[in-house]
Amino acid sequence: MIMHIAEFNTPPDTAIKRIVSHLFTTQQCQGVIALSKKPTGEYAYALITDIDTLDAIDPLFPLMPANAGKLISQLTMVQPSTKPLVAILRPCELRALYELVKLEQAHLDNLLIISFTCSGVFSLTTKPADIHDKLPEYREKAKTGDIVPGIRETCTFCEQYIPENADLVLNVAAHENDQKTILVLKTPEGEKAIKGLDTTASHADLESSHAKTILCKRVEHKKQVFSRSTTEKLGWDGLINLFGKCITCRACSSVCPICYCKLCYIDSGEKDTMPLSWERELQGKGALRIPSDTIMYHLVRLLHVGIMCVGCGMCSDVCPVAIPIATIFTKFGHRVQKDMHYSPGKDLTHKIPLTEINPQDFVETAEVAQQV
Amino acid sequence: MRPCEIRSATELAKLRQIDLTNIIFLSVDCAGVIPTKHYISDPEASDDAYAAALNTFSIDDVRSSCTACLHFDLTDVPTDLHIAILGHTATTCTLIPCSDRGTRCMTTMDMIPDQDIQAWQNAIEKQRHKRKEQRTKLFSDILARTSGITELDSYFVDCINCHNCMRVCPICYCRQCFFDSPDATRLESEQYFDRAMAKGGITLPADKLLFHLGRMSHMSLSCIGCGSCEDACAMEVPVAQIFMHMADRVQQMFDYTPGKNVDEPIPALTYKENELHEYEDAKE
Repeated sequence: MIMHIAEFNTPPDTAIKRIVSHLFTTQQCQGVIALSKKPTGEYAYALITDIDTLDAIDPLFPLMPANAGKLISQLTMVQPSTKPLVAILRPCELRALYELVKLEQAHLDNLLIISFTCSGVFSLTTKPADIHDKLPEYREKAKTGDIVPGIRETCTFCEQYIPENADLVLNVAAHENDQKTILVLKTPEGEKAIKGLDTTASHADLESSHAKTILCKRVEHKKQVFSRSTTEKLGWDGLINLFGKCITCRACSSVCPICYCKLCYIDSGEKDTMPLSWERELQGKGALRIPSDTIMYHLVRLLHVGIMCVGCGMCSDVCPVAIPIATIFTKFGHRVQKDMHYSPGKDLTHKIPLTEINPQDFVETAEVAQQV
Repeated sequence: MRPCEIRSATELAKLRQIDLTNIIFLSVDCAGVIPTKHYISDPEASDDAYAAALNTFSIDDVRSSCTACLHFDLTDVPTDLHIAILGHTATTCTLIPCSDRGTRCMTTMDMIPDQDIQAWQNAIEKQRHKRKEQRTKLFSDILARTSGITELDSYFVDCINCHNCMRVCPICYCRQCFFDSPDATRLESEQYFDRAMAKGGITLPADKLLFHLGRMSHMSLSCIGCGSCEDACAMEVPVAQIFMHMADRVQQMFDYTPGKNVDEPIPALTYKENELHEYEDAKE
């Protein structure tokens, strides 16, 4: 694999704009998808096709109004991009995009991907002005790998903050010099993209000892979060308490990049409760919570997406009743992904487990089941 | 149920989503409800706030839609039996039968309806006056905030297109919303590029405003102003307020009160040759 490294004499956000602008002027792209700042100050993802509007892009701003993998799926599902397009994605968005490609919901043709080492995003309800105030602290802590108050819980323990599959990767998190930007060129397309730009060769590496320190802190924190979240010991009563708050708005599923079904099974006619089954349940219990099946919904979704969960944390962020969905899903996800030797979003050639039969997959699961 | 819930059940019956046979509606004077998010973040304080609201019918802590609700008692609520609590002490109430069914219920319980409900009616009038004032204030505020396309755009700017508002809306009964359907979502990439190139760029997900305006045109005639949409919004967009305002205008235009009478058809389902001429004339 090509791993040439270039160094810019500018901070990362300027470097990104220079790269994209260069791609536009050299006709290597005709559009960019990136988090952008609206003239009114709010942030949203945008598809920008005009070089004069490029100044609006602010992909490093730590906010994720949508998992952009899902947006690229919308754009490229029916038809691969007809024009050369650049997408600037966070690592979990890129992983989601790769899963969506496997699920035949997105195409990578004509797409150049720029990603960066990610220090997490703030909760969605944080106002952009407040995030601006917190940026100095955010950048300081990004260097040490310490937890920034107010960022999504899943970000605090994300171990995959170094993107694997992008054409170009900016080293933002583990880089000490604010005024320089290290750029890793991971593919020939990436090499070609920055040809002609004013850079110097560098020997800095994504896998520096610095990066390892950050990773250690994240791993340590993950242990803490997972041990606090004792979901597996909840039992029925605990599950009822946890998911009983759910108002069945399905926001978690509609923002989930992996939940790509147009009509969720749970909302389909298949799952409608017939008067007879209501009566039967009522005879047994005397009362029934409505809407019913809130636990069923979350457990079914867990089963459907757990193996592919990229841990972006969108679900928790949009839950109006503050159920820690993302923590539960990542904890479960890590476990099944480990059991199935599957790392979502890592490699397009790795088939999604359960889409192919491999008897070996189930040996350990059977052993675990026996232990239980 | 609360009056707005009975009214939405009635709309849903018209939309053939509920069979009202064998259902008796029991309603109660409604002091409004505390926003769910307040309950989640501070259950104890919310319990206190609700107790206070029930006691005094103060509108300080309830959903914005509740503060401007004019259907908090029996007004336009096709209930069978109503529990009047306004103007009563904390330990008393009056049962008011509102249908043959309701009267039968009371007879079965050996209860005779109280003829003197003057104190309740006076309390209702006072409460209605307060909410009317709040309604006028809210609507003029909404009108100012949504008077043009730029204003509308910034009203919904925080929307992340999760469609929570649609999911929890009692009137939005479609199994699959048009805006989630392949017609609306399976577009060719070329179409996105065309639109982006026309103005230099588009925000994604696209058509956020179109979703809200589309939903508004689909359901505002039947909107009963329960405020569930705003309550469920992950981004705290004041959805219910603009929808209530719009509903008020279109419902007046069609002289229609949703949820009032199950036999009164929804205007969009009826054709009258002689209606809305004033709008044609205005156009000419």
